[in-house]
Amino acid sequence: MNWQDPDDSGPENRLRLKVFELFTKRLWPYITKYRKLFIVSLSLVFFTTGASLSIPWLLGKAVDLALLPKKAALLLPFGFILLTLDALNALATYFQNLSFTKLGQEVIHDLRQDLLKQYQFYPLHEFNQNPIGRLVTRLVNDTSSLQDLFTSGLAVTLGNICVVAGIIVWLMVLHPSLGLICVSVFPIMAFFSRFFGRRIRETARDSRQALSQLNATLAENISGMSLIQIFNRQKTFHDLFDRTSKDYTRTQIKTLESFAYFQPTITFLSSLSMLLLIWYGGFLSLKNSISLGMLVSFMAYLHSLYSPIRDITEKYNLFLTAMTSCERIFEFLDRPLEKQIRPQETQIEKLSLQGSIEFQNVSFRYSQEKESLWVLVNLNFCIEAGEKIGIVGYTGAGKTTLVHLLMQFYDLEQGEILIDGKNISETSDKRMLRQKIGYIQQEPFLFSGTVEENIFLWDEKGREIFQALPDFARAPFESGPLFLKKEIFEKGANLSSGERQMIAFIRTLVQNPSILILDEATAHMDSLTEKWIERISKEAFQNRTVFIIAHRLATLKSVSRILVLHHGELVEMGTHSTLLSKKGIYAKLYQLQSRKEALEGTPRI
Amino acid sequence: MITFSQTLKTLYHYAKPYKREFAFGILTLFIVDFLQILPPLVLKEFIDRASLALKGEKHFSPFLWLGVAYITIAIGQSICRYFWRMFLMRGSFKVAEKIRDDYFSKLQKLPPSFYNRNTIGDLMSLATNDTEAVRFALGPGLLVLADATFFLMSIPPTLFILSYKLAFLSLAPMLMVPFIITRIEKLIHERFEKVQNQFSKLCAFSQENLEGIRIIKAFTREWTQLNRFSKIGKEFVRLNLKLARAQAAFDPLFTLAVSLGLVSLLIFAGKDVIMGSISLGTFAAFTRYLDQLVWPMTAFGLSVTYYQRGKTSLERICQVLQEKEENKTSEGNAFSIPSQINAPFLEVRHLTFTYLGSSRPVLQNINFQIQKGSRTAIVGTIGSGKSTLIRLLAGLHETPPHMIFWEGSDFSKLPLEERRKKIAFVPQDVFLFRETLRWNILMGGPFPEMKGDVWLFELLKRSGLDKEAGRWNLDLKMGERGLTLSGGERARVTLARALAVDAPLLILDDALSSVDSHTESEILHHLSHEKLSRNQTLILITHRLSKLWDFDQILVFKEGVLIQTGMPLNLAKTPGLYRELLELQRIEDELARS
Repeated sequence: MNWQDPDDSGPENRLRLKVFELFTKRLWPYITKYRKLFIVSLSLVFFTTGASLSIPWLLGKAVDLALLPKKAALLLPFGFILLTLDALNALATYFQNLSFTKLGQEVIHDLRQDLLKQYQFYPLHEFNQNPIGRLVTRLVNDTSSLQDLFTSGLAVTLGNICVVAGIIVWLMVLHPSLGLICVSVFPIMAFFSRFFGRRIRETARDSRQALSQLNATLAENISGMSLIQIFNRQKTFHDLFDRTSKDYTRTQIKTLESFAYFQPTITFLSSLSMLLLIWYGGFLSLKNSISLGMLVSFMAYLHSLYSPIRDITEKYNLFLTAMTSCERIFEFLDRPLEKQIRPQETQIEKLSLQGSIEFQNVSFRYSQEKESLWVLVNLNFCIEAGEKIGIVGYTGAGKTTLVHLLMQFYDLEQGEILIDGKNISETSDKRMLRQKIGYIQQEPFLFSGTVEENIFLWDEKGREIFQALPDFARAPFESGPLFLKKEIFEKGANLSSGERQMIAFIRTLVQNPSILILDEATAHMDSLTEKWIERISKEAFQNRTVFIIAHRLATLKSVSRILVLHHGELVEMGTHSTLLSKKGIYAKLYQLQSRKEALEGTPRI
Repeated sequence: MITFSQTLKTLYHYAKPYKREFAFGILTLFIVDFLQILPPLVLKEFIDRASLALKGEKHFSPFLWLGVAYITIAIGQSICRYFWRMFLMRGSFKVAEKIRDDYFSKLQKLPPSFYNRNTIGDLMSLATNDTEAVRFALGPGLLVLADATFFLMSIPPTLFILSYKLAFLSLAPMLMVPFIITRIEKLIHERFEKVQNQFSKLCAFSQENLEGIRIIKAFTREWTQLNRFSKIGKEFVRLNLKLARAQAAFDPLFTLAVSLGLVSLLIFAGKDVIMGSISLGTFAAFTRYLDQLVWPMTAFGLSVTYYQRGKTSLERICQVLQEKEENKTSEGNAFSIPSQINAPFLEVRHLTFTYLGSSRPVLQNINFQIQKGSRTAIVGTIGSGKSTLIRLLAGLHETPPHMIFWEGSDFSKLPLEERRKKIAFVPQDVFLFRETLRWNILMGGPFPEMKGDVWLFELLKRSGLDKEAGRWNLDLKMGERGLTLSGGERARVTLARALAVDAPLLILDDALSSVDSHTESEILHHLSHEKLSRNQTLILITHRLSKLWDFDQILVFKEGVLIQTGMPLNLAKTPGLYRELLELQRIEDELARS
C-alpha cells in the first residue's frame, strides 16, 4: 500500500507558495487544540536553549576564575553546577522529545479521525472515482509522514532555531566584534545554501517524479504480466523498465551530487569561521582585551552554532515531503460531503414510517455531463405501505440503481421520490431515512470480527429485537454453526455464501426497518439455508414495505406486484399472471429464467 | 529467515561489481576521520603558545603557520568528504538498481499463480521501499558503521597519547554507553514491533471501512465506525509514545555521558592544569575531542537499525527471487520437435486438471482434436471450465504432461517460449499499456522493428476498427488528449494486437462480448475468410451462440466435462445443452432488441 499512485505527482508543483498558508490556516488550529502541551514543549525548548547557552559560558568562567588564577577550591563547585545543569539539560531534552512526540501523535490522531469522518460522509460517487488504495494512503501513510515532521522535524528544528538565534545574540552581548567575526561567514553560507538549496529541491523533485514514474511502470507491468508473457515480450518490457529504473538512479545520484558539494562546503565554512575566531580571538587575548576562558567558551559556541545549521538544511527535505502530504490530506478534507446530512450529530433522530413510496418522473444518470447516459428514465409508480414489490429486468436495466436512489446514495437530477408522501430530498438528515430502510445486498459485505459484531454492528440496541425473534431464527446463532462469538475472517472468507446471507438477513432485521430492500442472492445455497431464508423472509416481510430484486421464479410468483425495468424504463407493471399473459418483456424474462434454472440449478437473470 | 552470514553474503554479492567504488569511498572516509584528529591538536598548540606568551615567558610566534595547517586540513577534509559521499552512496544506488533489475527479471518469469497470491501493492513495495531499505543498509549503514569505527579507532588512542589520566577520566563515563544502548535497543525493538502491528490494524480497518462503506451508510454506522477507529488510533498513539519513551532517551544520554566526561575532567584534572602538569591547551583539546565522540555513539545505534531494516527487506526480496519459475521446458532435448505428418494439429487426450490447493478437478477427462485451419467454438454454462482449458492451451497454467499434443508431440515438453510463439491470445479482460496505440498493437507483432502504416491499417480493418482508425492518432498515448476508447474499441485493439503476432493458432477468450453484435459478425466473417488465405486455426470461447453457424466444430462444456461435440447445425438439431443454450440466446437477443 505504501506506494504513490501516478496521479500523485501533480500537486507538488502547486505546493510551494501555499506552505505558509497551509501551516498557519490549516495545521495550526489542530495544534492550538493542545495549547498546554504546545506551551510546555516550547518552554522546554527555551530551557534547553538556555542550558546549551550557559554551559559553554560556565566552562569559560571556570577557566578564567579557577584554572588560570590557580584556585583549585573553585573547581568542585564549578563542576557541581555544570553537572547539575547538564543533568537538567538532558532531562529537559528527553521530555522535550516526548512532549513533541505526544503533540504530533495527538494532532495526527485528530487529523486521521477528521479524515475518516470526511470519508464516512462522502457522497458515494467519490468512492466510485477514487480507488480505495488511494483513500487509505491518505488516511494512513500521508498522516504518518506528517508525524515525522512533528517528532523529528518540528522539535529539532525549533530547538535548532532557538539555539542559533540565542547563540548569535549571546555572542554579540559577550563581545560584539568577536561575535561579528564568528558570524562573518554567514553571508557566504546563506549564498551557498540558497544556491544548493534550489538545486537540491529541484533534483529531489525530479527524483520523486522519477519514482512515481517507476511506480507507474511497475504497476502496469505487474498488472499486464500475463500479456507480456503470452506475447514473449519480456525483453521489450525489461528494457522499458530498465530505462525508468536507470532514470530514477540518475536523479538520485544528481541529488546526491548536490549534497556532496553542499555539505563539505558548509563544513569548510564552519572550519573557516573557527580559524577566524582563533586568529582574531588569539590576537585579542594577547592584547588582554579578552580572557582565555572567553575564547574557550566562544569556541564551544561556534561548535554548537554550526551543527544546527547543517541539520536545518537536512530537515528541509523532510519538511517538503510532509507538506506535500499535508496538502493532499487537506485536499481530501475539503471535498464536499453528502447533501442533507448533519455529520456532527452522533445520535440520529428517530422517525416512524408507514412505508408508502412514490416515484414521480424520476430520471437519473451517474454524471451530469452532456454525453453521459441516462440509467433510469422517467419512472412513475406508487407503492402502498406494506406492499411486496418485485423488481425484474435484464442486466443493466437499472434495478440496483433504483434501490440505491431509495437509499439516497445518489441525489436526483430530475423528479421526486416521496416516502409517506414526503419528498425525500427535503429530509434534514438522510440517515433518519436510511435507518428505517433495511438493505440486504446480493453479496453481503461482512466485517472481520465476530458473528455478533456483524449482527449488531457495534450497537447494542438491536439485541432486544434479536431476543424477540422466533426460535428458529435465533437457533443457528445460538447453538448452530454461526454461534455469536464465532470469528469471521476478512470479507467473511470462512463462511459459505448462504451463511453470509443469513447474517445479512438477521443484521437487517434487528434494525427493525419499515422498508426492506432485498437483492436476492444468485449463488447456490444448500437446502437448509434455503429453507431458513424462506422462513425468515416470511417473518421479515410482515408489516413492511418490501422491494425484492428478484432472480428466482418462486419469488416472482409470490410478490404482489412486479415492476419490469428495461433499458432504464418502467415498461410493465402488474402481478405475475397478468404480466405473463401480456407476452411482453416480462414473459421473455420469465422464460429465460425458467430455462436457466432448469439448466444450471443456479438462478440468474 | 536468513542468517547474518547469508545476509552479508547477499549484500556482498551485490556490492562486488562496485568494489572499487565502495573501497575508495571508505578510504576517503578514513582520511577524513583521521584528519579529524588534527584540528584540536592545532588548537592545543595555539592555546599553549598563547598562554606561554601571556605569562611573558616566551614571545608568541606568528601563528600563520598554524592557520595554514588548519586551512589545509579543512580543505583536504572537504575534498575527501565529497569523494566518500559520491563513491559510497553512488555505489549503493547502483546496487539498488541492480536489485530492482534482478527482481523485475524474476517477476517476468513467475507464473500467474504467483500473481494471484500477491497483491500489486506488495510487489511494488518490494521494488521501491524494500530495495531502498537494502540500499540504506549498504550505503548509509556501511558509512555510519565505518565512520563510527574510524572515530573510535582514532580519538581514544589520541587521548591516551596526550594524557593517560585525562583519557581515562573523560572516557570512563562513556563505558556505560554500550551497555545502555543494548538495553534500550532491545526495548525499542520490542516496542517498534508493537507499533508496526497496530499500524497494520489501522490500515486494515481503513481498508475494510472503505470497502464496506455502502453497508455503513445503509446501517447509519458512520459514527460507530469512527469510534472504533478512534480506539485503534488511540492505542496507536499510546504505543508510539511508549516507543518514544525509549527512543527519546538516546540523545540526551549520549550528551550526558560526554558532559560527565567534561565535568570529571574539570574536577579531577583541573588541579593538574593548575599545577602545570597538564597544559591548558591539552585540556581544551580534550573538550573538543569529547564533543566529537557523541556522533560515533549515535552512529553505532543507527548502523544496527539500518542493518536490521535492510535484512528484513532483503529477506522479503530473496523470497521472491527464490520463487519457482514457470517451467521453461521440462526436458531439455525437446527444443525442436518435428511435426508428425498425419497427427492432428492440436489434440487433447484425457485432460484432467485441478487447481493447486483445490480438491475438485476443474476439467475431467477431456478429449478432442482440432484440425489445422479449422474454427472451433467452446461454449458452456458458467464455471464449466472453458476458460481454464483455454488458459492451459495458452500456457498460462502449468500444462500437465501427455495430455495436450501439438502436431503429435507433447505440448508440455515444448519450451514455454516456443509454445507461446505458436499462439496468439486475446484474453477476457482487456488490458492496454499506457503507451501509444501503435505500440500497443505492434507489441504483438514484429516489434520493435515497425512495419508500415498500410500493414497496421490492415490489422485494424481485420479487427473491425477501420472506421474508428481513421479518426485516431495512432501515436498518442492511451488516455492522452482525448484518446479514450470505449470498451468495445479496446477489445478490438486487443484483437488487433493478437493478429499482429501472425501465429498458427488464434485464441479468443470471450474477448468480443463487449463488442456490439453487428461488429462481432463482421469480425468473425473477416476471420473466417482469413482461414483460407492464412491457414490460421481459430479457437473461440463465446456466449453468443447465434454467430457460430459456419464454425467447423463446437465443444460444449458443463461442469468440467465435455458433453457435446459436433458441427453447429447437427448440434442444433439434437436435443441437449447446445440447443438449450441456443434457445436462451434467442430470448436474450430478443430482449436486447426490444
